[in-house]
Amino acid sequence: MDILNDIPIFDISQDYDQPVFTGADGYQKNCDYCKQFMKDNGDVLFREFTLANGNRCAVIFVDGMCSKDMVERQVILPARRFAQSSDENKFNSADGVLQQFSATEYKREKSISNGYISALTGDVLVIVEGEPVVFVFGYRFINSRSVGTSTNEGSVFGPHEAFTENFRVNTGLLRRRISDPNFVIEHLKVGQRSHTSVGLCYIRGLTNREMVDKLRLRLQKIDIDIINDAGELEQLIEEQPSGLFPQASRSELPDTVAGEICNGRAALLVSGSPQALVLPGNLSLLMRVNEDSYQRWSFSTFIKLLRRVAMIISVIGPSLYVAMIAFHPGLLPTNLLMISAINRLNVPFSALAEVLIIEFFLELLREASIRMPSNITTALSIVGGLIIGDAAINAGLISPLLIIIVGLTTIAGFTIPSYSLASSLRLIKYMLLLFTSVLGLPGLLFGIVIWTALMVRSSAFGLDFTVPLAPLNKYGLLRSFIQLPIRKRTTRPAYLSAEDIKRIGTGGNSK
Amino acid sequence: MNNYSSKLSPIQIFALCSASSALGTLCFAPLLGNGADVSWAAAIIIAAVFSTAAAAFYIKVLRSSVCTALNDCSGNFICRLLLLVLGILFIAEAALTAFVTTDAVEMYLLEETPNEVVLLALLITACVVFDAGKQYLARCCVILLLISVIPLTILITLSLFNSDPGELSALLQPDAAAVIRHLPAAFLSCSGGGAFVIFASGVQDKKNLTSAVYGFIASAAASLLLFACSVGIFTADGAELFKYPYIEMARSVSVGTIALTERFDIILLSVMIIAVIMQLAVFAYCAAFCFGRSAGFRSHRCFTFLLIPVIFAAAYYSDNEALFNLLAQISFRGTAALMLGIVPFLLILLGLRKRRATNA
Repeated sequence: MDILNDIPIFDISQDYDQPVFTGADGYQKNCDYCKQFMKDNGDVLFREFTLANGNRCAVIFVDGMCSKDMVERQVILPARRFAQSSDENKFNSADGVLQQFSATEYKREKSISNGYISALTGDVLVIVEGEPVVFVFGYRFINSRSVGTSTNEGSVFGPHEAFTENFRVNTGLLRRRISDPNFVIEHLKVGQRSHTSVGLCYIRGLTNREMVDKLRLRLQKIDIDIINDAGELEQLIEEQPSGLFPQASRSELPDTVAGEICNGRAALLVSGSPQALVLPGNLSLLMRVNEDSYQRWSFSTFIKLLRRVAMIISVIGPSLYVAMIAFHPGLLPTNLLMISAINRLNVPFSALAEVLIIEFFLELLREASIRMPSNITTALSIVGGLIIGDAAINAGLISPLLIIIVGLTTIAGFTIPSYSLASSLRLIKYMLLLFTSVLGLPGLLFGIVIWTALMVRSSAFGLDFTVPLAPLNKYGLLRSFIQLPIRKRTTRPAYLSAEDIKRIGTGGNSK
Repeated sequence: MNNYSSKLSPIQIFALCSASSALGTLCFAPLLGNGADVSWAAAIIIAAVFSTAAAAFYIKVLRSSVCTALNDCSGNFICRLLLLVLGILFIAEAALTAFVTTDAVEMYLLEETPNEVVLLALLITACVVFDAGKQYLARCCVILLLISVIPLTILITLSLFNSDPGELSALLQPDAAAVIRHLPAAFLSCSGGGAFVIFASGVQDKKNLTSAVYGFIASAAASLLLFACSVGIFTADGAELFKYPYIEMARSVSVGTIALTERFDIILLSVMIIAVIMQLAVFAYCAAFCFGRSAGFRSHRCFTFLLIPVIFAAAYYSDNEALFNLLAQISFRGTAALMLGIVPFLLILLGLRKRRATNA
């Protein structure tokens, strides 16, 4: 306990922007300042040596976050070489120091605390005696997995490479697709303790400036200790925290994100997260897959319509079953009614209880398959889907018709491209089930109206969730249901208020 | 980003007017008209023509909101009193709509569920829709109108195929006395007129209001077509026997083995329930707006949940014939008076005053 008490606490509310100590003992004070915080840290390395002019120099970096080899070759070796060459003038000025250390990314920092924090995020901090500033060199080298294929967003056509947890790799993947000089990746730091790098990506002169300013302001206003993932950031910047529907789209595919940036949206890259946030999100965006653009328009239109029908089935399917079986069997065609009656002859539960049991079982299966090691997932699906499902039917606990309905709605749910939207719709499905269990078909209709009202009320950064359906934008609506041939998609969606509305015919040889 | 602000677009005004007009009312208007004899069609046409003309007149002449116009004409106190009366008219219309819908739901869908449960659910749903304001209400109306259009079109088309064209000729021989008798009830098919007066207040660009006229025409046309179909299927005398002839007509439609349902009336009932919720929401919003302005509040929200028990009580006790008739009379005559009497009178009065002021 005593040891712990001796270590000073870096007060995040006060200790920021501590200026670099100057004067005769400035160097020592700067080193002591850093050393007091790195006392018990085994991974923070401190190396001190003397320069040619006799001034002392200290290098601070974190082992495992920057390239030791680079530090050795680019900082320590030049310093030592010149220390022996007696060319004492080379380190006499800040410019001289910078010229000797070769680094493509560097900055002069007037605050020792910010310099130390930079070292903790992977940079190399160099303190030179007699200098009123400290130097921060970017030799970051964090071991991360290489660019791989997307695991969550499958596609037949189009690029398969996905973002990784490495922020710089992700910015590179985006920059490779948009080489426009107006493409901006603004760097911001979020998180009082994590200092997570966040990249605000947009195209100057295309993306709505007001929206970018609003987004930047919200990012700057975030006051939280740590950001681990893009999902946390999404919740911190959204307009309606209590809203049911996602207000941003998440994607791990660089081509999808680049496509949306070129459509007039903005994207956020978060260090440590393999997904980018695309803002502002709306229903149309959340139901879109970039693959739609890579195929012939006729087939893409069919798939788009299918996806929308599937979305509706996934939400109302179980409720419709309960309404028809428990409340209005007379509405079913006679043959179907007879089949359902025979199937349910020995089922001991009501239609609602039956649906709730099977839905609960499916939710368990879904959650378990996500949490379990991937090599056991296949076994789980066999045990869960086939053995238990088959046994339940044979035991007469549930009717085969319900298995078909629930299977159909589950498969329909998987066609929704956005996992966040699918999750929201799962909640809506239970809300509708509740209403239907009380009032049958009228209850289902009441639920659908409330669902519509909830969607209509949602918005993100001034963009309504249901646009282009409500407020109605005829061309946008047409485009959200029909995949126009690529040559016909001459403009960007008007509802995004992009500063440059034209996609084709902007002076290039698009004809 | 998309600068829609609080202004209503033409399509939103169209949706509001058509949703608050016949879509909900068409299913029970014949019931209120003392039997759906062949003169009903003529009554609907006359009511639609008058309502449309009144709306067009309103659009052309009025330069300010209805509150300002009332204030200018009659002073602050009487203006508030008139708004209060207008609020009561909307409550009567909402209660009547809720009662008849609950009755139809009990008759065709939920025979064993207590009426008050359906009524309460209906009102709470309407409240959720209109609570956020007219812009969101209008957006919901647009979406639900788009959802309703396709099944309604299919139903009318199928009904026309099943109709006997010979029976339709009876519609061309209306009885003048019967038409006059049906006229007040037919005006309820254009009950969106009252709502139009309220919504028109917030519309800056008068050109947008023209779509309201199309809203009235569309709803009257739907009402007329459904009535014609029911006469075509059941004959004029047969249609008179049913309490809800349109629903019965939809029930009798057969599409053979391609049907996913045994009873085709489920489509009309679904459209009707959705439309009724929108209609209730519009009426409740208008009532809350009138009461709010009458009490001097800028927002309608303080009255949102206060209105539920009032409408619920009025609708629940409409089982009593006397109360039902009272609500019906308030609704019929109030809507007719509003569209044909109060609004034109106000406009003429304002016009005269302005002319006098200009001359002076």
